[in-house]
Amino acid sequence: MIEIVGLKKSFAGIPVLQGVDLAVADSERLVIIGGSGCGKSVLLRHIAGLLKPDAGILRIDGRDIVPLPERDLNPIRQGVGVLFQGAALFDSLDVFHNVAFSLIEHRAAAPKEIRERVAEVLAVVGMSGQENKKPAELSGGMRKRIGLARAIISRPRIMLYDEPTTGLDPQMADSINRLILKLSENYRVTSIVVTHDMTSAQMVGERIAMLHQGKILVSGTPREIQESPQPIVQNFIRGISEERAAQRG
Amino acid sequence: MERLFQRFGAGTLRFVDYLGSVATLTSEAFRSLVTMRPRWRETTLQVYSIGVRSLPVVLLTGAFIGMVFSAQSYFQFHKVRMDTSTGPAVSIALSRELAPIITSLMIAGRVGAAMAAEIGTMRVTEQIDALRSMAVLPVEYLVVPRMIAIAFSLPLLTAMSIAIGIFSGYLVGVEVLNIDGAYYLHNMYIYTEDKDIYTGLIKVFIFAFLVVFISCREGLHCEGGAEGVGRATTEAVVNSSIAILITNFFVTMLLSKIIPP
Ligand SMILES: Nc1ncnc2c1ncn2[C@@H]1O[C@H](COP(=O)(O)OP(=O)(O)OP(=O)(O)O)[C@@H](O)[C@H]1O
Ligand SMILES: [Mg+2]
Repeated sequence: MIEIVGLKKSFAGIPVLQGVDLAVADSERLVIIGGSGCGKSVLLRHIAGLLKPDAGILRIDGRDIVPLPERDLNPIRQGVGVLFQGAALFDSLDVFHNVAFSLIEHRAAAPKEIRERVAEVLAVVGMSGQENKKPAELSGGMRKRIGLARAIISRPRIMLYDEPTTGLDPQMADSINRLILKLSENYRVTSIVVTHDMTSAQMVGERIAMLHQGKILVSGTPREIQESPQPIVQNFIRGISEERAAQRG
Repeated sequence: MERLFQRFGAGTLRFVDYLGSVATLTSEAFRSLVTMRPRWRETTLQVYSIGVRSLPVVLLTGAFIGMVFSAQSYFQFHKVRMDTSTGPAVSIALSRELAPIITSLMIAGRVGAAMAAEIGTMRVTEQIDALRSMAVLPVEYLVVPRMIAIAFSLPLLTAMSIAIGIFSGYLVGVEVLNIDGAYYLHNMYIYTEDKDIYTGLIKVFIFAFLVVFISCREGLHCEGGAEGVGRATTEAVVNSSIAILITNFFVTMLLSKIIPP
């Protein structure tokens, strides 16, 4: 259970989050949509405990993580997997050591089991046999899939996906969407997916929330969002630019 | 006028803030040193890149400092017919000041820059956040191995710099400037004491921490893409060098009270 109340964050005096209220139930799949630069990644980083808000409460399983110092966040973080927008692979390590990172660091498994689990998650993201490549040798979409493999290998209870399908071809995007669904259905992983991609949002979202001007503007089932009377929502999901909306009157 | 005071005030605050962040990093690193499990792999890699790969530049600068200092001492001692005093002058100056300072400054330039650039790049590409998201403290994974490696390597590098400096100083003094070799060595043995060597090594041990914490702080606080990484790198080198030179004076004065020269 993730509960966010009145979350606020400014950077150098410019407000980005202006009182976000949001609750995500266990094993729910929530999709967050919103324009570029509206603060989706910033919101996700708060949930991962990577940023401290200026104000507000952020409870994970009933515990407010905002006042916790870095060291005390670690036990909570072990249960949260993050796929970063830019994948954030360690470029000094090869694919194997990137994917195995958390298992090696936390001594979570024996070397033989680590090798098996790496092979397993690489197969899941369609990157089998690429263990010895360096991140610099991979394309953007491949890096993203390695980033996903790295996030899921420790079997987190909560997964945060920052634009999992951007930069992927439609078929690969589809298989990543299926993977998100599978993790959620088979392992009851709580999933928060940030995306621009409305196909993906419709496919994986049990609920969709739209972030606009630093607040959650609406939240509802994909169907409710589709039929929302709000013009801002309609323009966003239909991809109508502000200029065109203004021309139409 | 008021503006001037405001500027001055803001500058002071920034400076205090800066010192605070370096101090926080220092205390975090020492805390991690005792609480974390040792990371042999990362530490050995760092000993290699900090210690072993700095060897050529340290030996080269040590040799040339020894040579030039030998020549300069000879020029002055020769005026008062004390040519053979060149030996102890070279060995003591090298052990106490020249080798420690030159080696530390070379390491600040080579290693401090690399630390700030590597960690800064990781910061702007979200790799630091990725570490944190996987419940790994950047201080433990990145800073502590570098700290151990530099605190281990810098005294050894300095000792090698002293040795090669004395040797090349001897060559210049005796082979080029024709000082009597036997007396050169004799005077050097008599006047150079153990404490001349270990005060120099104590000093660089302290400088090692200045370089690692200032440089890692620059990297970890780096902001603003490639430009930010460039800025952090420059700052790391400049600030560690200044810190070394300032600290050197005070530590020297302090050590002279504890171990009279
Ligand atoms: N560390 C930071 N320092 C200063 N400003 C920041 C920082 N991180 C984000 N911002 C600002 O916050 C705003 C929201 O950024 P964010 O990355 O969350 O957008 P986003 O909704 O994820 O956009 P996109 O869809 O393009 O990824 C932007 O205006 C950005 O400039
Ligand atoms: Mg984003």
